[in-house]
Amino acid sequence: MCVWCEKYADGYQRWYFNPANYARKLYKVRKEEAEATGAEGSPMAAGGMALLTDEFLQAWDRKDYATVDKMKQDIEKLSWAAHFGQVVTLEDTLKVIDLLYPIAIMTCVCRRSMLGLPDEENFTCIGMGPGMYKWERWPNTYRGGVQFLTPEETKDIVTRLNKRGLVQTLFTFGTPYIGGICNCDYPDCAAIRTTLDFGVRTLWKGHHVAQVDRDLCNGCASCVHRCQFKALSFSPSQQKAYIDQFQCFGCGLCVTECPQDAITLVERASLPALADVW
Amino acid sequence: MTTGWKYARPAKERLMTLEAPGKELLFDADKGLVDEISAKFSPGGIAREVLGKSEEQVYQAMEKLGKELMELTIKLADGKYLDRTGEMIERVYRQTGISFPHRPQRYIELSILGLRPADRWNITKSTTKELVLQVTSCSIRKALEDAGTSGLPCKAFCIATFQAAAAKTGDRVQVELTKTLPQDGVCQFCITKV
Repeated sequence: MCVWCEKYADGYQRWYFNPANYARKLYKVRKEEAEATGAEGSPMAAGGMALLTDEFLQAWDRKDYATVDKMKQDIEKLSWAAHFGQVVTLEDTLKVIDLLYPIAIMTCVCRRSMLGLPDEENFTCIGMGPGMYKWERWPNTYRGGVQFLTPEETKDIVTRLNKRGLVQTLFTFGTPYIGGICNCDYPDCAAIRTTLDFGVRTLWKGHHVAQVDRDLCNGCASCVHRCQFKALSFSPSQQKAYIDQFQCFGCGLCVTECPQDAITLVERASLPALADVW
Repeated sequence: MTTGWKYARPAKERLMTLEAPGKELLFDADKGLVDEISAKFSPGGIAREVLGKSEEQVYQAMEKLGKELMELTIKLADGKYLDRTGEMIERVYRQTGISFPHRPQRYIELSILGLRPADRWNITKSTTKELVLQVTSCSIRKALEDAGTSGLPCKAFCIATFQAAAAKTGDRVQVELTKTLPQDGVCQFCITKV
Protein backbone atom coordinates (compact mmCIF):
# COMPACT_ATOMS: atom_id res chain seq x y z
CA MET A 1 0.00 0.00 0.00
CA CYS A 2 1.34 3.43 -0.86
CA VAL A 3 1.61 6.04 1.87
CA TRP A 4 -1.21 8.05 0.26
CA CYS A 5 -3.55 5.08 0.50
CA GLU A 6 -2.59 4.63 4.14
CA LYS A 7 -3.44 8.27 4.83
CA TYR A 8 -6.31 9.11 2.52
CA ALA A 9 -8.06 5.98 1.16
CA ASP A 10 -10.53 5.89 4.08
CA GLY A 11 -11.69 2.37 3.30
CA TYR A 12 -11.57 2.65 -0.48
CA GLN A 13 -9.31 0.36 -2.53
CA ARG A 14 -6.98 3.25 -3.40
CA TRP A 15 -6.73 6.82 -2.19
CA TYR A 16 -7.72 8.16 -5.59
CA PHE A 17 -10.99 6.21 -5.48
CA ASN A 18 -12.05 8.11 -2.36
CA PRO A 19 -14.59 10.73 -3.54
CA ALA A 20 -13.72 12.97 -0.58
CA ASN A 21 -10.37 13.68 -2.26
CA TYR A 22 -12.18 15.42 -5.12
CA ALA A 23 -14.96 17.18 -3.18
CA ARG A 24 -14.67 20.68 -1.82
CA LYS A 25 -16.90 23.54 -0.76
CA LEU A 26 -17.71 26.02 -3.49
CA TYR A 27 -17.76 28.99 -1.14
CA LYS A 28 -16.24 30.78 1.75
CA VAL A 29 -17.23 34.25 2.88
CA ARG A 30 -15.32 36.90 0.96
CA LYS A 31 -12.43 38.48 2.80
CA GLU A 32 -11.78 42.19 2.83
CA GLU A 33 -8.19 41.83 1.61
CA ALA A 34 -7.29 40.69 -1.91
CA GLU A 35 -6.93 36.93 -2.48
CA ALA A 36 -3.51 35.48 -3.21
CA THR A 37 -3.15 34.75 -6.89
CA GLY A 38 0.58 34.26 -7.34
CA ALA A 39 2.86 31.45 -6.24
CA GLU A 40 1.59 31.83 -2.67
CA GLY A 41 -1.96 31.18 -3.80
CA SER A 42 -1.33 28.51 -6.39
CA PRO A 43 -0.32 25.00 -5.30
CA MET A 44 0.88 24.34 -8.83
CA ALA A 45 3.25 27.30 -8.76
CA ALA A 46 4.34 26.35 -5.27
CA GLY A 47 4.74 22.66 -6.12
CA GLY A 48 7.77 20.47 -6.50
CA MET A 49 8.81 21.10 -10.09
CA ALA A 50 9.00 24.85 -9.57
CA LEU A 51 11.26 24.25 -6.59
CA LEU A 52 14.00 22.66 -8.67
CA THR A 53 16.03 25.85 -8.74
CA ASP A 54 19.32 26.96 -10.26
CA GLU A 55 20.89 26.40 -6.88
CA PHE A 56 19.87 22.74 -7.04
CA LEU A 57 21.21 22.33 -10.57
CA GLN A 58 24.50 24.01 -9.72
CA ALA A 59 24.94 21.71 -6.72
CA TRP A 60 24.10 18.79 -9.01
CA ASP A 61 26.70 19.90 -11.60
CA ARG A 62 29.48 20.26 -9.05
CA LYS A 63 28.52 16.87 -7.55
CA ASP A 64 27.81 18.41 -4.16
CA TYR A 65 25.74 15.44 -3.08
CA ALA A 66 25.19 16.62 0.48
CA THR A 67 23.50 19.82 -0.74
CA VAL A 68 21.59 17.96 -3.44
CA ASP A 69 20.32 15.46 -0.91
CA LYS A 70 19.22 18.12 1.53
CA MET A 71 17.48 20.16 -1.18
CA LYS A 72 15.87 17.04 -2.60
CA GLN A 73 14.33 16.23 0.77
CA ASP A 74 13.04 19.80 1.17
CA ILE A 75 11.57 19.83 -2.34
CA GLU A 76 9.87 16.48 -1.90
CA LYS A 77 8.42 17.50 1.46
CA LEU A 78 6.88 20.64 -0.03
CA SER A 79 5.79 18.89 -3.19
CA TRP A 80 4.02 16.08 -1.34
CA ALA A 81 2.13 18.61 0.74
CA ALA A 82 1.16 20.87 -2.14
CA HIS A 83 1.43 19.39 -5.61
CA PHE A 84 2.63 15.96 -6.66
CA GLY A 85 1.46 13.28 -9.04
CA GLN A 86 0.93 9.54 -9.23
CA VAL A 87 0.78 7.39 -12.33
CA VAL A 88 -2.57 5.67 -12.92
CA THR A 89 -3.68 3.13 -15.48
CA LEU A 90 -6.23 4.09 -18.11
CA GLU A 91 -8.72 1.76 -16.46
CA ASP A 92 -8.37 3.52 -13.10
CA THR A 93 -8.47 6.94 -14.76
CA LEU A 94 -11.81 6.14 -16.36
CA LYS A 95 -13.19 5.14 -12.95
CA VAL A 96 -11.88 8.34 -11.37
CA ILE A 97 -13.69 10.49 -13.96
CA ASP A 98 -17.02 9.34 -12.51
CA LEU A 99 -16.05 10.57 -9.04
CA LEU A 100 -15.80 14.26 -9.77
CA TYR A 101 -17.22 17.26 -11.54
CA PRO A 102 -16.73 19.69 -13.28
CA ILE A 103 -14.04 18.74 -15.78
CA ALA A 104 -12.23 20.98 -18.27
CA ILE A 105 -9.43 20.58 -20.77
CA MET A 106 -6.74 23.22 -20.52
CA THR A 107 -3.22 23.93 -21.72
CA CYS A 108 -0.25 22.12 -20.20
CA VAL A 109 2.20 24.33 -18.30
CA CYS A 110 4.97 21.76 -18.74
CA ARG A 111 4.71 21.66 -22.51
CA ARG A 112 4.44 25.42 -22.59
CA SER A 113 7.80 25.74 -20.86
CA MET A 114 9.58 22.59 -22.10
CA LEU A 115 8.46 22.60 -25.74
CA GLY A 116 7.31 26.20 -26.16
CA LEU A 117 4.07 24.86 -27.61
CA PRO A 118 1.63 27.62 -28.56
CA ASP A 119 -1.56 27.54 -26.51
CA GLU A 120 -3.82 26.46 -29.36
CA GLU A 121 -1.79 23.25 -29.85
CA ASN A 122 -1.27 22.55 -26.18
CA PHE A 123 -4.57 21.26 -24.79
CA THR A 124 -3.48 18.16 -22.89
CA CYS A 125 -4.19 18.73 -19.23
CA ILE A 126 -7.49 18.13 -17.53
CA GLY A 127 -8.46 20.33 -14.62
CA MET A 128 -11.23 19.06 -12.41
CA GLY A 129 -13.26 19.68 -9.30
CA PRO A 130 -14.97 22.77 -7.90
CA GLY A 131 -11.79 24.86 -8.23
CA MET A 132 -12.30 24.86 -12.01
CA TYR A 133 -15.25 27.23 -11.63
CA LYS A 134 -12.64 29.75 -10.48
CA TRP A 135 -10.15 29.20 -13.29
CA GLU A 136 -10.06 32.92 -14.08
CA ARG A 137 -8.40 33.50 -10.72
CA TRP A 138 -5.10 32.32 -12.28
CA PRO A 139 -4.99 34.10 -15.65
CA ASN A 140 -1.46 33.03 -16.51
CA THR A 141 -2.08 29.34 -15.88
CA TYR A 142 -5.30 29.43 -17.90
CA ARG A 143 -4.27 31.99 -20.49
CA GLY A 144 -5.15 29.59 -23.33
CA GLY A 145 -8.68 29.22 -22.00
CA VAL A 146 -10.63 26.14 -20.96
CA GLN A 147 -13.29 23.92 -22.45
CA PHE A 148 -15.64 22.24 -20.02
CA LEU A 149 -16.46 18.62 -20.78
CA THR A 150 -18.96 15.97 -19.82
CA PRO A 151 -17.54 12.86 -18.12
CA GLU A 152 -18.17 10.87 -21.31
CA GLU A 153 -16.28 13.40 -23.45
CA THR A 154 -13.42 13.28 -20.95
CA LYS A 155 -13.23 9.50 -21.08
CA ASP A 156 -13.09 9.64 -24.87
CA ILE A 157 -10.24 12.18 -24.87
CA VAL A 158 -8.21 10.38 -22.22
CA THR A 159 -8.59 7.08 -24.09
CA ARG A 160 -7.41 8.67 -27.32
CA LEU A 161 -4.44 10.35 -25.68
CA ASN A 162 -3.50 7.07 -24.05
CA LYS A 163 -3.61 5.39 -27.45
CA ARG A 164 -1.26 8.09 -28.72
CA GLY A 165 1.28 7.23 -26.07
CA LEU A 166 0.54 9.64 -23.22
CA VAL A 167 0.62 8.46 -19.60
CA GLN A 168 -2.24 9.36 -17.25
CA THR A 169 -1.23 10.90 -13.94
CA LEU A 170 -3.29 12.36 -11.11
CA PHE A 171 -2.03 15.53 -9.44
CA THR A 172 -2.86 17.02 -6.06
CA PHE A 173 -3.45 20.72 -5.53
CA GLY A 174 -3.07 20.92 -1.79
CA THR A 175 -2.78 17.23 -0.83
CA PRO A 176 -5.01 15.20 -0.64
CA TYR A 177 -7.25 17.25 -2.94
CA ILE A 178 -6.80 15.82 -6.45
CA GLY A 179 -7.45 18.49 -9.06
CA GLY A 180 -5.92 17.32 -12.31
CA ILE A 181 -5.49 14.45 -14.73
CA CYS A 182 -2.36 15.05 -16.76
CA ASN A 183 -1.48 13.24 -19.96
CA CYS A 184 2.29 13.06 -19.80
CA ASP A 185 5.33 11.90 -21.70
CA TYR A 186 9.09 12.26 -21.50
CA PRO A 187 10.71 14.77 -21.84
CA ASP A 188 7.73 17.15 -21.92
CA CYS A 189 6.51 16.45 -18.40
CA ALA A 190 8.38 18.31 -15.68
CA ALA A 191 7.33 15.78 -13.05
CA ILE A 192 8.67 12.83 -15.06
CA ARG A 193 11.90 14.74 -15.68
CA THR A 194 12.53 15.74 -12.09
CA THR A 195 11.76 12.21 -10.96
CA LEU A 196 13.76 10.31 -13.59
CA ASP A 197 16.60 12.71 -14.28
CA PHE A 198 17.21 14.11 -10.80
CA GLY A 199 15.69 11.54 -8.47
CA VAL A 200 13.35 14.15 -6.95
CA ARG A 201 10.11 12.25 -6.50
CA THR A 202 7.39 14.65 -7.59
CA LEU A 203 5.78 11.77 -9.48
CA TRP A 204 5.01 8.52 -7.68
CA LYS A 205 4.87 5.12 -9.28
CA GLY A 206 1.43 3.61 -9.79
CA HIS A 207 -0.19 0.63 -8.13
CA HIS A 208 0.75 -1.77 -10.90
CA VAL A 209 3.85 -3.22 -12.51
CA ALA A 210 4.18 -4.59 -16.04
CA GLN A 211 5.56 -8.03 -16.75
CA VAL A 212 6.38 -9.85 -19.98
CA ASP A 213 5.37 -13.40 -20.75
CA ARG A 214 8.52 -14.47 -22.52
CA ASP A 215 6.78 -17.39 -24.22
CA LEU A 216 4.25 -15.08 -25.83
CA CYS A 217 6.65 -12.24 -26.72
CA ASN A 218 7.62 -12.48 -30.40
CA GLY A 219 10.35 -9.84 -30.17
CA CYS A 220 8.64 -7.29 -32.37
CA ALA A 221 9.83 -4.47 -29.99
CA SER A 222 6.76 -2.36 -30.75
CA CYS A 223 6.30 -1.78 -27.02
CA VAL A 224 9.70 -0.21 -26.42
CA HIS A 225 8.93 3.29 -27.72
CA ARG A 226 5.79 3.46 -25.54
CA CYS A 227 7.68 3.48 -22.25
CA GLN A 228 8.17 6.99 -20.85
CA PHE A 229 10.12 5.80 -17.82
CA LYS A 230 13.18 4.06 -19.31
CA ALA A 231 11.93 0.75 -17.91
CA LEU A 232 11.40 -1.13 -21.16
CA SER A 233 14.18 -2.27 -23.44
CA PHE A 234 14.76 -4.86 -26.11
CA SER A 235 17.22 -7.65 -25.51
CA PRO A 236 18.98 -8.32 -28.86
CA SER A 237 20.56 -11.51 -27.59
CA GLN A 238 17.28 -13.01 -26.49
CA GLN A 239 15.06 -11.22 -29.02
CA LYS A 240 12.55 -10.39 -26.28
CA ALA A 241 11.22 -7.32 -24.55
CA TYR A 242 12.72 -6.74 -21.13
CA ILE A 243 11.08 -4.75 -18.31
CA ASP A 244 13.07 -3.41 -15.37
CA GLN A 245 10.29 -3.74 -12.81
CA PHE A 246 12.10 -1.53 -10.29
CA GLN A 247 11.94 1.24 -12.87
CA CYS A 248 8.40 0.49 -14.12
CA PHE A 249 5.78 3.08 -13.15
CA GLY A 250 2.86 0.79 -14.01
CA CYS A 251 1.12 3.04 -16.54
CA GLY A 252 0.20 0.17 -18.86
CA LEU A 253 1.08 1.89 -22.15
CA CYS A 254 3.19 -1.11 -23.19
CA VAL A 255 0.31 -3.48 -22.47
CA THR A 256 -2.05 -1.84 -24.95
CA GLU A 257 0.63 -1.77 -27.68
CA CYS A 258 1.62 -5.42 -27.57
CA PRO A 259 0.07 -7.32 -30.52
CA GLN A 260 0.74 -10.65 -28.80
CA ASP A 261 -0.89 -9.73 -25.47
CA ALA A 262 2.42 -10.76 -23.95
CA ILE A 263 2.53 -7.93 -21.40
CA THR A 264 0.22 -7.74 -18.41
CA LEU A 265 -0.11 -5.50 -15.38
CA VAL A 266 0.09 -7.02 -11.93
CA GLU A 267 -0.55 -5.40 -8.56
CA ARG A 268 2.62 -3.88 -7.16
CA ALA A 269 1.59 -5.09 -3.71
CA SER A 270 1.54 -8.70 -4.95
CA LEU A 271 5.30 -8.65 -5.57
CA PRO A 272 7.15 -8.57 -2.24
CA ALA A 273 10.30 -7.02 -3.68
CA LEU A 274 8.34 -4.18 -5.26
CA ALA A 275 5.60 -3.62 -2.71
CA ASP A 276 7.45 -0.68 -1.18
CA VAL A 277 9.04 0.66 -4.35
CA TRP A 278 7.12 3.82 -5.19
CA MET B 1 -13.54 18.40 -28.81
CA THR B 2 -11.32 17.05 -31.57
CA THR B 3 -8.07 15.21 -31.10
CA GLY B 4 -6.59 15.28 -34.59
CA TRP B 5 -3.24 16.52 -33.28
CA LYS B 6 -1.12 14.38 -31.01
CA TYR B 7 -2.76 16.35 -28.22
CA ALA B 8 -6.38 17.49 -27.98
CA ARG B 9 -7.83 20.58 -29.62
CA PRO B 10 -10.71 22.48 -28.11
CA ALA B 11 -13.89 23.18 -30.03
CA LYS B 12 -13.78 26.90 -30.84
CA GLU B 13 -17.42 27.49 -30.02
CA ARG B 14 -16.99 25.98 -26.57
CA LEU B 15 -13.62 27.43 -25.62
CA MET B 16 -13.87 29.93 -22.77
CA THR B 17 -11.12 32.51 -22.74
CA LEU B 18 -10.29 35.27 -20.31
CA GLU B 19 -12.84 37.99 -20.83
CA ALA B 20 -11.20 40.79 -18.93
CA PRO B 21 -7.62 39.95 -17.88
CA GLY B 22 -6.64 41.97 -14.85
CA LYS B 23 -10.21 42.69 -13.80
CA GLU B 24 -10.92 41.62 -10.23
CA LEU B 25 -13.58 38.91 -10.17
CA LEU B 26 -15.46 38.05 -6.99
CA PHE B 27 -15.68 34.30 -6.48
CA ASP B 28 -16.49 34.05 -2.78
CA ALA B 29 -19.81 34.63 -0.98
CA ASP B 30 -20.62 38.29 -0.50
CA LYS B 31 -20.69 39.44 3.10
CA GLY B 32 -23.84 41.42 2.25
CA LEU B 33 -25.66 38.17 1.42
CA VAL B 34 -24.63 36.68 4.74
CA ASP B 35 -25.72 39.81 6.61
CA GLU B 36 -29.11 39.97 4.89
CA ILE B 37 -29.87 36.31 5.57
CA SER B 38 -28.65 36.61 9.17
CA ALA B 39 -30.92 39.61 9.69
CA LYS B 40 -34.01 37.55 8.79
CA PHE B 41 -33.06 34.09 10.04
CA SER B 42 -31.11 32.98 13.08
CA PRO B 43 -30.80 29.65 14.94
CA GLY B 44 -32.26 31.29 18.06
CA GLY B 45 -35.17 32.70 16.09
CA ILE B 46 -35.90 29.31 14.55
CA ALA B 47 -35.92 27.70 18.01
CA ARG B 48 -38.33 30.36 19.29
CA GLU B 49 -40.70 29.74 16.35
CA VAL B 50 -41.31 26.17 17.47
CA LEU B 51 -41.57 26.69 21.21
CA GLY B 52 -44.65 25.14 22.77
CA LYS B 53 -45.76 23.37 19.60
CA SER B 54 -46.65 19.70 19.26
CA GLU B 55 -44.16 17.37 17.57
CA GLU B 56 -46.10 17.42 14.31
CA GLN B 57 -46.42 21.19 14.37
CA VAL B 58 -42.69 21.52 15.04
CA TYR B 59 -41.87 19.45 11.95
CA GLN B 60 -44.28 21.46 9.82
CA ALA B 61 -42.86 24.74 11.07
CA MET B 62 -39.34 23.53 10.41
CA GLU B 63 -40.18 22.59 6.83
CA LYS B 64 -41.81 25.97 6.26
CA LEU B 65 -38.81 27.84 7.65
CA GLY B 66 -36.41 25.76 5.57
CA LYS B 67 -38.27 26.62 2.37
CA GLU B 68 -38.40 30.30 3.30
CA LEU B 69 -34.67 30.39 3.98
CA MET B 70 -33.94 28.87 0.59
CA GLU B 71 -36.31 31.24 -1.19
CA LEU B 72 -34.47 34.20 0.29
CA THR B 73 -31.05 32.67 -0.45
CA ILE B 74 -31.92 32.06 -4.10
CA LYS B 75 -33.32 35.57 -4.50
CA LEU B 76 -30.15 37.14 -3.12
CA ALA B 77 -27.69 34.71 -4.75
CA ASP B 78 -29.14 35.16 -8.23
CA GLY B 79 -29.86 38.87 -7.87
CA LYS B 80 -28.12 41.46 -5.81
CA TYR B 81 -25.22 39.21 -4.78
CA LEU B 82 -24.60 37.14 -7.89
CA ASP B 83 -20.91 36.20 -7.85
CA ARG B 84 -18.52 34.90 -10.49
CA THR B 85 -18.65 31.32 -9.18
CA GLY B 86 -22.41 31.34 -9.68
CA GLU B 87 -22.08 32.79 -13.17
CA MET B 88 -19.49 30.16 -14.12
CA ILE B 89 -21.59 27.31 -12.72
CA GLU B 90 -24.46 28.43 -14.97
CA ARG B 91 -22.18 28.77 -18.01
CA VAL B 92 -20.74 25.30 -17.48
CA TYR B 93 -24.26 23.92 -17.06
CA ARG B 94 -25.27 25.44 -20.39
CA GLN B 95 -22.23 23.81 -22.06
CA THR B 96 -22.47 20.34 -20.55
CA GLY B 97 -26.14 20.08 -19.63
CA ILE B 98 -25.13 18.77 -16.19
CA SER B 99 -26.91 20.58 -13.38
CA PHE B 100 -26.25 18.29 -10.42
CA PRO B 101 -24.47 18.63 -8.02
CA HIS B 102 -23.16 22.17 -8.20
CA ARG B 103 -26.23 24.21 -9.13
CA PRO B 104 -28.15 23.09 -6.02
CA GLN B 105 -24.93 22.83 -3.98
CA ARG B 106 -24.33 26.52 -4.57
CA TYR B 107 -27.64 27.52 -3.00
CA ILE B 108 -27.21 25.03 -0.17
CA GLU B 109 -23.78 26.37 0.75
CA LEU B 110 -24.89 30.00 0.60
CA SER B 111 -27.89 29.27 2.81
CA ILE B 112 -25.66 27.65 5.42
CA LEU B 113 -23.15 30.49 5.31
CA GLY B 114 -25.98 33.00 5.65
CA LEU B 115 -27.85 31.38 8.51
CA ARG B 116 -24.98 29.95 10.54
CA PRO B 117 -21.62 31.23 9.37
CA ALA B 118 -19.75 29.83 12.37
CA ASP B 119 -20.93 26.22 12.00
CA ARG B 120 -18.50 23.50 10.97
CA TRP B 121 -19.51 21.53 7.88
CA ASN B 122 -17.97 19.98 4.82
CA ILE B 123 -18.74 18.49 1.42
CA THR B 124 -17.36 14.94 1.33
CA LYS B 125 -18.76 13.71 -1.97
CA SER B 126 -19.74 15.72 -4.98
CA THR B 127 -20.36 13.62 -8.07
CA THR B 128 -22.94 13.93 -10.83
CA LYS B 129 -25.00 11.34 -8.95
CA GLU B 130 -24.55 12.13 -5.28
CA LEU B 131 -23.81 15.04 -3.00
CA VAL B 132 -22.82 14.34 0.61
CA LEU B 133 -22.83 17.10 3.19
CA GLN B 134 -21.55 16.62 6.73
CA VAL B 135 -22.32 19.01 9.58
CA THR B 136 -20.13 18.51 12.63
CA SER B 137 -21.19 21.54 14.64
CA CYS B 138 -24.76 22.79 14.28
CA SER B 139 -26.04 25.94 15.91
CA ILE B 140 -29.68 25.14 15.02
CA ARG B 141 -29.58 21.85 16.90
CA LYS B 142 -27.87 23.62 19.81
CA ALA B 143 -30.52 26.36 19.89
CA LEU B 144 -33.32 23.78 19.85
CA GLU B 145 -31.62 21.81 22.60
CA ASP B 146 -31.18 24.97 24.69
CA ALA B 147 -34.89 25.72 24.19
CA GLY B 148 -35.75 22.26 25.52
CA THR B 149 -36.93 20.72 22.24
CA SER B 150 -36.30 16.99 22.16
CA GLY B 151 -35.34 14.79 19.23
CA LEU B 152 -33.93 16.10 15.99
CA PRO B 153 -36.77 18.12 14.39
CA CYS B 154 -34.19 20.33 12.68
CA LYS B 155 -33.63 17.54 10.15
CA ALA B 156 -36.95 18.62 8.60
CA PHE B 157 -35.52 22.12 8.26
CA CYS B 158 -32.31 20.98 6.54
CA ILE B 159 -34.07 18.49 4.26
CA ALA B 160 -36.67 21.06 3.21
CA THR B 161 -33.91 23.57 2.47
CA PHE B 162 -31.98 21.12 0.30
CA GLN B 163 -35.11 19.97 -1.53
CA ALA B 164 -36.07 23.56 -2.25
CA ALA B 165 -32.61 24.19 -3.76
CA ALA B 166 -32.93 21.12 -6.00
CA ALA B 167 -36.46 22.10 -6.99
CA LYS B 168 -35.19 25.50 -8.13
CA THR B 169 -32.55 23.90 -10.38
CA GLY B 170 -34.93 21.24 -11.69
CA ASP B 171 -32.99 18.35 -10.19
CA ARG B 172 -35.07 15.46 -8.88
CA VAL B 173 -33.35 14.31 -5.72
CA GLN B 174 -33.80 12.12 -2.69
CA VAL B 175 -32.43 13.50 0.57
CA GLU B 176 -31.47 11.09 3.35
CA LEU B 177 -30.02 11.74 6.77
CA THR B 178 -27.62 8.82 7.18
CA LYS B 179 -25.78 9.94 10.33
CA THR B 180 -27.05 12.13 13.12
CA LEU B 181 -25.72 14.39 15.81
CA PRO B 182 -24.85 13.87 18.57
CA GLN B 183 -24.49 10.07 18.58
CA ASP B 184 -22.55 9.84 15.28
CA GLY B 185 -20.66 13.07 15.85
CA VAL B 186 -21.99 14.36 12.55
CA CYS B 187 -25.20 14.95 10.65
CA GLN B 188 -24.63 13.45 7.22
CA PHE B 189 -27.02 14.27 4.40
CA CYS B 190 -26.87 12.20 1.22
CA ILE B 191 -28.55 14.00 -1.65
CA THR B 192 -28.97 11.53 -4.49
CA LYS B 193 -30.12 12.31 -7.99
CA VAL B 194 -33.09 10.13 -8.96
